[in-house]
Amino acid sequence: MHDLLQRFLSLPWDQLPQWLFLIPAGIMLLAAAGAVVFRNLIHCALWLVLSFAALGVLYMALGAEFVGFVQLLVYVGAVSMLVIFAILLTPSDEVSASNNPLVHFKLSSAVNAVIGVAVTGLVLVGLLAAIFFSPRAGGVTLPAVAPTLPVAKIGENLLSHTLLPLQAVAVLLTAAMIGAALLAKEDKRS
Amino acid sequence: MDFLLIALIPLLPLVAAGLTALLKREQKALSATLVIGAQTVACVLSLWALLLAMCADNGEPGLIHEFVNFPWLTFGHETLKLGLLVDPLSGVMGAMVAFVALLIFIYSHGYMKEDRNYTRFYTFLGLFSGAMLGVVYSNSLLLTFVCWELVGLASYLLIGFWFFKPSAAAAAKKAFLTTRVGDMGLMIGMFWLYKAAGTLLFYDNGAGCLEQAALATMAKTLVGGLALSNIIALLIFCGAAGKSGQFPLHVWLPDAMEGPTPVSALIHAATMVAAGVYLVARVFPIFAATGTHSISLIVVASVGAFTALFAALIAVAQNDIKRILAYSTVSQLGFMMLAAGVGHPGVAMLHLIAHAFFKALLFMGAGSVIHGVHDEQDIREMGGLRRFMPVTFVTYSIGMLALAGFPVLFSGFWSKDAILHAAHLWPVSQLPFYMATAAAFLTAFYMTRQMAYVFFGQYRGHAHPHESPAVMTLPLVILAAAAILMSLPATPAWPAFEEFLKGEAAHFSLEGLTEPGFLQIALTSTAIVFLGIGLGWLIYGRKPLGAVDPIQTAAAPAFRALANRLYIDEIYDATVIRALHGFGSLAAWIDRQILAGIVSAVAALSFFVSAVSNGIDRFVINFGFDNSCNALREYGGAAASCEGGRVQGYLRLIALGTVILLAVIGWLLV
Amino acid sequence: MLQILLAISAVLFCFGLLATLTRRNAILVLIGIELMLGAGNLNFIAFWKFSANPEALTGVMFAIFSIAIAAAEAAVGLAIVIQVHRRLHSVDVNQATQLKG
Repeated sequence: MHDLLQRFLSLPWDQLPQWLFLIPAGIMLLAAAGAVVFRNLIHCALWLVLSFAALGVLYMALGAEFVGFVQLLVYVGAVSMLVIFAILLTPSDEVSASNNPLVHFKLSSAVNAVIGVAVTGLVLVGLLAAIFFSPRAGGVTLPAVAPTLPVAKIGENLLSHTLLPLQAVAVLLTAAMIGAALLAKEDKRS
Repeated sequence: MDFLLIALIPLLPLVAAGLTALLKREQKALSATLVIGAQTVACVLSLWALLLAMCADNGEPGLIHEFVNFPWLTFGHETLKLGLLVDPLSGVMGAMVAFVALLIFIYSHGYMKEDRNYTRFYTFLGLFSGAMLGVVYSNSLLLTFVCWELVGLASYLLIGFWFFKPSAAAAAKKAFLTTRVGDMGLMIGMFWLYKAAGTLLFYDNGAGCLEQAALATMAKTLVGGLALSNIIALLIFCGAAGKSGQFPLHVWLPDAMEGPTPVSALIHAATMVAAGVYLVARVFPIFAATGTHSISLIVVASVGAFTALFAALIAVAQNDIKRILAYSTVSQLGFMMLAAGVGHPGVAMLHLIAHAFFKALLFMGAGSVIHGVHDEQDIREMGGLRRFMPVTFVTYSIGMLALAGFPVLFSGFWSKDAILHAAHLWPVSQLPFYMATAAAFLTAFYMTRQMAYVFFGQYRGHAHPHESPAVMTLPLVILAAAAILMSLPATPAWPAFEEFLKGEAAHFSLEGLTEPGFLQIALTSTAIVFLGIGLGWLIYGRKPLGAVDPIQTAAAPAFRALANRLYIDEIYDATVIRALHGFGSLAAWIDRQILAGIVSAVAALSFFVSAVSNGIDRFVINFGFDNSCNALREYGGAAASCEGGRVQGYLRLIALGTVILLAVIGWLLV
Repeated sequence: MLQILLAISAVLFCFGLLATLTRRNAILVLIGIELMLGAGNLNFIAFWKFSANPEALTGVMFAIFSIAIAAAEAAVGLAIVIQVHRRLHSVDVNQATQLKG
């Protein structure tokens, strides 16, 4: 078993074709599209989980293993659970409304959607134009040595250069936890 | 020395307060046990620290001066350190604070028994005690400042303990805001000190800010005879004046009497208000960096002398038993500041300790009186109580005689004499000496007046006075004993106490008695005290007292001015508060006239946009059948109010803005 | 390659934006925000990988903090959604207009 693991690790991972990262990226985009378009909220949430997981794999493929694992832990593990719980706690009429679209069809919502799609399209075009046609585009090459991400160094960084932000985030998370608990609490008075 | 045990002194009450905060309202016994138990241990430890401070390891007296420093925060190349310090000064102060606090904690059990927020009261008391002991044992101005603010918070919470009384809530707010004004100065002084000395530690083996190297750099003259050390010292004095109720920041202290009486005794008489004096004594080397007649010390002495006289004057015309004591506290704090200002912080500390005992005694006695006559505080509604409350009467009399400075037997006599003596020897000016003498006379006078009103004559109220329970009278007896016994170390050997505080070997001798001028001063002050008491008795003691004060009939305008506290509050209302109010109105005007104009313009613009969009809806995208027309109109209405509260509308605009931004950037780049 | 990564991130961002703009369910709006944050993180990682001095770890630290803050945001956001549902019996973002000026 140990032998197998050793052999697996000593495979020439560095020499994999560069385009391989497109696989998780593609899965991620497809899943994100699914999370956006489906009617059923639970389906949306499941697609979202897949999208997050693929994003984590993409991080790993880019060499940021630690961030990838954090992504898996925080998003796939925690945030998705929150989302699913929230969906289950807030029964919505959106699903039932879709049963008979003609009755509930409102032109304003259609116009809403059209404008939303148009604005999004504009943003996309703008972003892509900025990425591919800006004067400095294409001038970047990979550094000579592929960057590595030793976890010990992250820890060192966290506790030296970014100590203050780290503590601030700790306070923020505590405040968010208390705030979330307070907000979601049943209001006894009403 | 084991500093873990020293650290426990402030930490124990704090932890006890934290635990008590988790208890339920009904768990009264448990909360009191926790806090009083922790305070007992802290008290024992602080007495041990005092013993350590008195005898160094080799057994010689009064030489110990030990500290421990530890890093707290590192940012960039700077490391902020905190530390603990045991020296005679902190040893004496800590023992006093812990002891008085313990007595008052026990007393509170009797006083607050019926209060439904009893548990919370003990939580606040523990918080206060921990923070105050932190101020005492701190070896870093930063730690002192942190605890200083915590003490202020505890004071705020306790003054406003009966927050359902509007007056108490207002008094708490007033205390918090007024002391904040002074603390602003303290904070700026602290920053400046850090810039000048590079450290906030008091002592650090030669690198601390109270040690020779730092003092020498700070003593360089900046401008017009002012040295950097003087400016920093004055800024620190701002904080001390705020906390210790010195003129012109004294206004909060009398109002603070809205809090429960144990709080008045503990915080607003014995410990917290003395923290300002302690701070001045602690950083005295900065004050005296340019010599003992530096500008900063002259300011301290002047403020102190003025406050002593001014508050004593006001106290003459007050009718609330606690308010008289409050003004008396302000006046006595003025005495202490005067002593520090004329270059004798040791004398200031001597009076501080003596005052803490007899003033706590007086306040607790007043609490006992208030308790006994069923929450009446007006001395005109009392009278003749010596028959109903003998223990309270005897102990209160001892406190009164100590405060008035009755000769020989009482601690107040010796410490006050030491101050008068120090002021007399001040070469800069004799004016503070005369002001202090006048204040001493007035002190004897108004205390006699109070005694006459409360304990002599006939009972004028309508309740049924009774003596308080033993849990309240026992601390009174202990404190009364302390008020007398404190005169032993306070005898004319007081230079010994001062030397001891400086950390030098103290020579206990009676040489002080033969020091030039001492006997004269002692005789003068004795005469002054007898004059004050005699005059008070002459005016108030002989005839039955009515609702109108005898002085009021004799000199009505003066009495009215004094009774209205010389209109200081009104002056503040007319100047500072009105200025603030005016500024607020100006801001409101700008808000209404200018900002509202912009908002209206935006609104008009959005109306225009909506009109256009409505028109487009109606005439361009008109599909010709009613249903869609209505729907279109609905959408037009939605777009009409860009501020309609619809999140997605805003988002859409943000996204559009982003696109425009991208376009502009792209255009600029290409 | 950097451009391709950025393009992927841009597309992901636009999916998020689309959800935020067109879906009326507040939870889906939140999902859209999470997707946009993910796109931002992807940018951080991409720029880190192609930066002149990747040893400084700037991009990675940013991404880690951003994930932490996104987690806090999701928790509070979803709690607000639940409370809104309790009050209005709906999670339609266009019905929660009581705070308008």
